[in-house]
Amino acid sequence: MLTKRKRYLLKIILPATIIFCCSAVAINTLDRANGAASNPDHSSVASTPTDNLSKPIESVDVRFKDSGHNELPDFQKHVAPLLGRLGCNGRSCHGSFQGQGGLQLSLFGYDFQADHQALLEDGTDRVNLKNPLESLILTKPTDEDEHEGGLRYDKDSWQYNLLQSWIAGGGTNADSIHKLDRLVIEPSELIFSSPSTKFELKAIAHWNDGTVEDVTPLCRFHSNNDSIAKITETGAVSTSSISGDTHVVVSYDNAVVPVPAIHPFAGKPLDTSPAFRGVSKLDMLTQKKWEKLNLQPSQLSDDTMFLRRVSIDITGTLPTSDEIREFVAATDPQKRKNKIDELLQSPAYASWWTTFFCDMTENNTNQLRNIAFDNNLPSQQWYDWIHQRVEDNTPYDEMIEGIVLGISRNSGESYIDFCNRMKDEAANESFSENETMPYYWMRREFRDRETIAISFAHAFLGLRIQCAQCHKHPFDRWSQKDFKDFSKFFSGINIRPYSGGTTPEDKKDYIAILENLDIDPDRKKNPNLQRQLRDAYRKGETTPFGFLTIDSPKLTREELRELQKQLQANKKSKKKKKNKKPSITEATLLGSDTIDLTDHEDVRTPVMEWMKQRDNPFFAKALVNRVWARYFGVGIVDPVDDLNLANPPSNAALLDHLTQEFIAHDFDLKWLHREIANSQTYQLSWVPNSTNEGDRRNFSRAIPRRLPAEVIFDSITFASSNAETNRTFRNTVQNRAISIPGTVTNVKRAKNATDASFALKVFGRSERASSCDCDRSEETSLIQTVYMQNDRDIHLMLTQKDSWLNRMAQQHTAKIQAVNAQKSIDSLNDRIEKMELKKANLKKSDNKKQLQNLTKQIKSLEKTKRGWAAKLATAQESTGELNVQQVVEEAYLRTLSRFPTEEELARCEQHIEEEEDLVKGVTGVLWALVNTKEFIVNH
Amino acid sequence: MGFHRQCDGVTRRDAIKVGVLGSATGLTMSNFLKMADAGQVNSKATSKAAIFIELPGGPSHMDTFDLKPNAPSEFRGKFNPIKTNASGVEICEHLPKLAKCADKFAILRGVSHSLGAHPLGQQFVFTGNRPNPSLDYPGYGSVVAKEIQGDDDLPAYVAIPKSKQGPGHLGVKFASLQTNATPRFGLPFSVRGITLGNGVTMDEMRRRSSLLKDLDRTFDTIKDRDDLLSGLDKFSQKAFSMITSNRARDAFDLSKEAPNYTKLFGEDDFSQSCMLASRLVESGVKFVTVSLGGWDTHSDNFSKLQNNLLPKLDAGLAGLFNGLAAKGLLDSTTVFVSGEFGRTPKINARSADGGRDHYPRCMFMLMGGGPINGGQVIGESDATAAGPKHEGINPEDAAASFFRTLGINHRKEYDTSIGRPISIVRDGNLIPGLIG
Repeated sequence: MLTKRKRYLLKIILPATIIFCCSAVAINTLDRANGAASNPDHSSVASTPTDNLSKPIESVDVRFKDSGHNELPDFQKHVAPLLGRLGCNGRSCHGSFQGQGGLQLSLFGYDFQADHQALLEDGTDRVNLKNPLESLILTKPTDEDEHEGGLRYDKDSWQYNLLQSWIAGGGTNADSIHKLDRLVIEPSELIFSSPSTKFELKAIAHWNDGTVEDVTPLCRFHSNNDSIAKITETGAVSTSSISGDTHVVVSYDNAVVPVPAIHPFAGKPLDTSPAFRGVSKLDMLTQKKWEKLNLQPSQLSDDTMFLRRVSIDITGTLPTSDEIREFVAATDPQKRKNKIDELLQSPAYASWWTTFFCDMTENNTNQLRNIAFDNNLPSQQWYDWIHQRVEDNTPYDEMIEGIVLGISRNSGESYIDFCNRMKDEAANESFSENETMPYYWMRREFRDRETIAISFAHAFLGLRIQCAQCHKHPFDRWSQKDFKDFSKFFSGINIRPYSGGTTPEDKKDYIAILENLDIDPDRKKNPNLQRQLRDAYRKGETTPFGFLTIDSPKLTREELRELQKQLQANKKSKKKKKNKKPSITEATLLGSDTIDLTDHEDVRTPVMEWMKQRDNPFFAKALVNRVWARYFGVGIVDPVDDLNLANPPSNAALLDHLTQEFIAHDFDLKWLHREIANSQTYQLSWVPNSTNEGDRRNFSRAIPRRLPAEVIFDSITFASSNAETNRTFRNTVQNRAISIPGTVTNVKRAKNATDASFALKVFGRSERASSCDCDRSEETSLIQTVYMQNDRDIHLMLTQKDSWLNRMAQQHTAKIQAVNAQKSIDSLNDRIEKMELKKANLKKSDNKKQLQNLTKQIKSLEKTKRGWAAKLATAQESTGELNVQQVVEEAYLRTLSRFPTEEELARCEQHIEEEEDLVKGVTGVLWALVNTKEFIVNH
Repeated sequence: MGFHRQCDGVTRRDAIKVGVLGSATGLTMSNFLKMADAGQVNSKATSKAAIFIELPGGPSHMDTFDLKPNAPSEFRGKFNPIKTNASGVEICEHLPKLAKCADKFAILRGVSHSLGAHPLGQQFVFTGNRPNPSLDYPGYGSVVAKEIQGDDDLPAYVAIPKSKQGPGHLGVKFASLQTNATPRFGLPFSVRGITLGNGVTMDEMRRRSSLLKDLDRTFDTIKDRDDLLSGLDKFSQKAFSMITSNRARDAFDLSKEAPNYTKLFGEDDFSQSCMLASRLVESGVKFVTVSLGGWDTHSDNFSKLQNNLLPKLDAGLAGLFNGLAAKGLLDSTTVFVSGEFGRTPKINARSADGGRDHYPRCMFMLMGGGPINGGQVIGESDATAAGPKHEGINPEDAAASFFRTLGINHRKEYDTSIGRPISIVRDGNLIPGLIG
């Protein structure tokens, strides 16, 4: 398993500690034919072969090889990237936020102005314009002067010559930033026809000013999977014996270019007769990729495997035994399609996918305190509001618009009216009828716009922009400026606690509400204020509620201070400027337009408009990718919340196709579910063939994945419940773990129900806490297996009063009772028979007294017999014949959703015989089945 | 993947290798030594396990370990200081048992931070990292569980009964085993997952397990090459040995303690929990938290402390220090005691008996055992205990020092799931004089 952590490790640049050598590694097998091949999987403009016919300027390692030349290097184009390549601005060196040895450079070097200033700072001699050779940036890295970072390059190397020429030329920096049009990498695709195939990448920069330059020695290179494509710091790529595909990534200036690297699986070309009959575009696109990798797909899953998988993925619920039998027996060629439709109509679908959206938008109860006097209310309303829309299949963009443009108080609504409405909506459970839902914005952690920007980009755009809060990451496109300018959209969002509004009218209303309740509003005099209000809320009175306001964007305190400083400086220089009220007037969409905020009353509107545009590169794609990942366990882009240039999709054509179709179908979520679930690709078996066992990212087989926490808990309940409960499981969802609204999971659900909170924690239900899809964990742990094997939850659930096993036990007891009753009746019959004989003899002897006695006795025995007969009848009524084979079959169906094999059946029967009674034996069987890997994974 | 790579690509191990290779690569020996100093070498580490006593709610520092008998009456409080067996160290008169073993722990005074809400303060103090909305830091216990290799048939990290110290970005793998209940004096104690219950016998468990082995064959053809499936197998085996081994059950079985050991502790739940913690550490558990709540004394501060909280704390904690010493474990077990903040020096008048409110600017902590120099006070608060007198100790420093006692380099970095390198403690420095 490639863990997230490992994936990251593989992503990181190679050690920059080795000296660069002018004579680059000799590589002779450059496969230009492959390199020039067109690449449908990769549509980035940046890597298409150059259309500029002018020959690029030779690279710096050639130009500066000898010291005799008079070229003046450019700070942005040459000096800064060279410092990056040398590792100078790395995190443990001068890129550290404390700097190193007094010199601080911007981390990974994208702040040209600051870096230039730092190098030329007066009195430091880092750059000595008078005696260039005395400059510390020449003497230290060559270890002439003591340098903690040691030797970075040799004297007289091209690096030395380049830096020296720059200093000699005045150590200048251009006035404005050069704009890089694109970075073209050759070859544009790497196909390793054998393990010994090697490539050497070449990077050509096309600048806005028309300059075209070979910048290979100034680029950073890294591979997304070292074992498939290993890349050196000079851009030489090799593979290993491991087949598969990945990307190598090249970055220079603000360009980040992924280059696909493919090492096809060994073996014969594709067999012509696999069962794969994919006809949809989706299937054709996955197939196309398999062909490239020489992968043969697995067989189609059989009916039981398909039914279990699709039931879990769509409804978070296992299929019932009857359902499995019926489905297997059905001969309708459309039965899979019909089943998918049926599942999408079920209440469990709406619950389970509402949980998905609550994860995505981070419905976290603890973040929503101080809004209502019932801490769970906002979480519940958040859940209900989304649930209503999932159930109605509201278009995705429309649903998200209701969240993004969420408001608390309707336009013109007074505070007291708002509080009255909130009270009514809580009482009538009618909150979901509101057009919008404001709670996304009302989390306590949303105190500054940067936190909001990070959360927003994660939830709705599938982007991780948090690195850019402090620095431009070399393998991501977002600069600090992009981050800051985007976060400005969120600078007018304010959460108003219940303790009164912002205007005098609001305050008056607040006092009125409290007076109406006879509560003293003075906090100092009334320490019980909060408790009194809570009591009033519980009694159904109107109490104050917190609310959201969207105000005009405001500067932060730091920004204000900065501005005041400037104003003061202006005063000193006696420049008279009209003192305008400082505010934020502009914000910039990520990778897109700058918006004049003064045109918008609600500054969130332009963000939503942008997201809804059909050519928005993130909004629909992020959702499609996340939904895909729920069906396959791995996203087309993975991790799913990292739609970043350096983390390209494993199948870009597939993701683009699905995204475009999803938009073309007006963001119809059920369309998306159907499209995926009906595909042959989704319905493949997990059983690998000789070619595809190593495939984990091209969907040529199903990959077993651990069930989500909620589904595990519900499935244990399901496995242990009686048959009637199971039949309604998919339709009665209120007591299910898949329908818990917020992050408080120990809410009392049904009477006698086991508290799910411990299990949900242990199995990693989403914490909804850190703007990361990794808040949900599908890892395994020791405590999980201890739970499954020996937790009291498990023992109790297996044997609780209404459980399948307990019903069986009752049945079993009844059977014993019936046998006993029959025995008693038999013996009574014997006795009565004997007495009748005796009676007949007595009649002859005419002993009246004895005869009377005997008749009495017989009558009494008859009465007892009638009693036993009645008992026998009830016992017989409640006992169906308990057939061990059927019981074992039922145990398999309710856990693994399949029939046992002959061998398994025999082993289970053996176990049941070993135990003291049938029920104990079956308990053991059920325990063993829920503890199999097959139970806890979706496959 | 067992070693760490820094954001700019240099792995620590690589760097050291490079250093050893010397001039060929340009990294000097002085660099290597510097790195070694930064935590590769830990000669002072002596603790093999740790116990953390959580006091959620925020205990009043002025009424426990940082009394100000000369402060004006609206600050001073009702309690008087008493001498302890450590010369010059005085604590509250309602902690007489602790006063007799004050040589076994150090008192940190003038500990200071700025987060006055319970959850935020707890996140800070129980992780050693200032909370950050986009990152969930692991608690001490989870870091220790990750860093110190435990045994197969014992949980590495046990919380009695629950802990605020979650696994954060390290993931559920490093979460605690929660007992969910506290042991009661004289009654058998059953632990979730460990104690066989509900009429299942050991023999039955063995038969079931053998059945499971025979039935769980579906993925045999691929499981060795699939991390999830092989992991499930491995954990299943481990769980079974934990459940069936006597060791785990014995570790939780307080009835196995001798009477002259049990009499070191009180009969209340906290004392019994402390005794359990000592027994768990003796059995090989690496980290135990014990939680004693109720310190949020906004009202009736003094009566709550005097009648309930202080006697409990006194008996349990003194029992723990004396017990660990009696078992010969004190030298190899670090004990760390802390709430999330102190309480306002000025007494509020909202209740007849006076109350104190949240106050992060000044608080106390205790640390003892392992290489910690006991019997001393480190740090000092000002005349009214309203803040540190000099430069305060912050929670990061306490965290750095705590990890050092276990030989864990607090500057070590983990990659979060989004690949961000995060050091165990971001800003901490060792507290001078604390560690011997």
